[in-house]
Amino acid sequence: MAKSRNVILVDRLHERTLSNKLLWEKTVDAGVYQVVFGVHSIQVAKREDRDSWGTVLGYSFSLEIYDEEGATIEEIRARDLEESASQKLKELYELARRQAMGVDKILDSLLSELESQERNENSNP
Amino acid sequence: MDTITKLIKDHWGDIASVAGVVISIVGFIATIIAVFLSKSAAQRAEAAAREVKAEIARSDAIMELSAVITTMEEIKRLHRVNAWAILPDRYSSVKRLLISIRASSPNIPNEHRESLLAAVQHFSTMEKKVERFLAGSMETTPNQAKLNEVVSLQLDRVNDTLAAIKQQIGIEPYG
Repeated sequence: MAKSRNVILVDRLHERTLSNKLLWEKTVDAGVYQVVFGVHSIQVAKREDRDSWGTVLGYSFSLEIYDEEGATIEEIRARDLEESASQKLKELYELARRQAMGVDKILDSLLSELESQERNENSNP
Repeated sequence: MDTITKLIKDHWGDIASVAGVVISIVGFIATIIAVFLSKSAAQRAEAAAREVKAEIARSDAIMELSAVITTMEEIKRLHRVNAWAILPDRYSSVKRLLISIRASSPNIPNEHRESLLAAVQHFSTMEKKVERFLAGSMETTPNQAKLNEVVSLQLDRVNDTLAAIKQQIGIEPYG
């Protein structure tokens, strides 16, 4: 079965984010990350699903595409995709979050700091 | 002398033909040169006109980017004093200017065009957020510090774009 354009887009974004070819950045909304290329911008979001009492029931993931003027032109929701594409979108969100927050850089820096401390402790027991 | 006169009389038609061909060739060459010169003059004028047009577009972009910077600074101040009701207008104004700059300045390098587009998107998101808050569909007040963090990043980007355009017209040195 041929993949839909939405599934292909999620695949390609996932692939290019993994190879650090896309630079995601934070937005003013917690849980929403943005990338721009060409004449479009894309946001990947994780939003809380709440009931009428405000209790969090779970989270929904989506990909929103905007035109040059910031108007929404398409929204792809994970729950509307087949299982594997839905999983890819969730992974894409996590990759975008880690990249935008600089998680890997921070972890590298922490690890390097810990190694440096251990070396100092070993040389001065 | 008689011989020459006889020769002319006898071969008048041939001589006239040869002279006609020579005149035609000379005329043709002269025409080509004239066309070439007029074409290159027209091309030079066209190139100069294009350059002037690009210079005007760059000057306009500099003025508009300066206006964007002023409005962004104002937005940061308005965030600090919780002036939510007037902020959507300011976001719109910044967006409008950024869209206009992108549309009217094809010479801006791609990386800067993308930066400006990212800024448009950030102000769009801010506008929606504040509109939602004003409509009462958000429980908490928007986080001023987070908003200003994003505005400051966009200010840096716009300043970079401004510097790049100034470099193009030689106002600001490279480096």
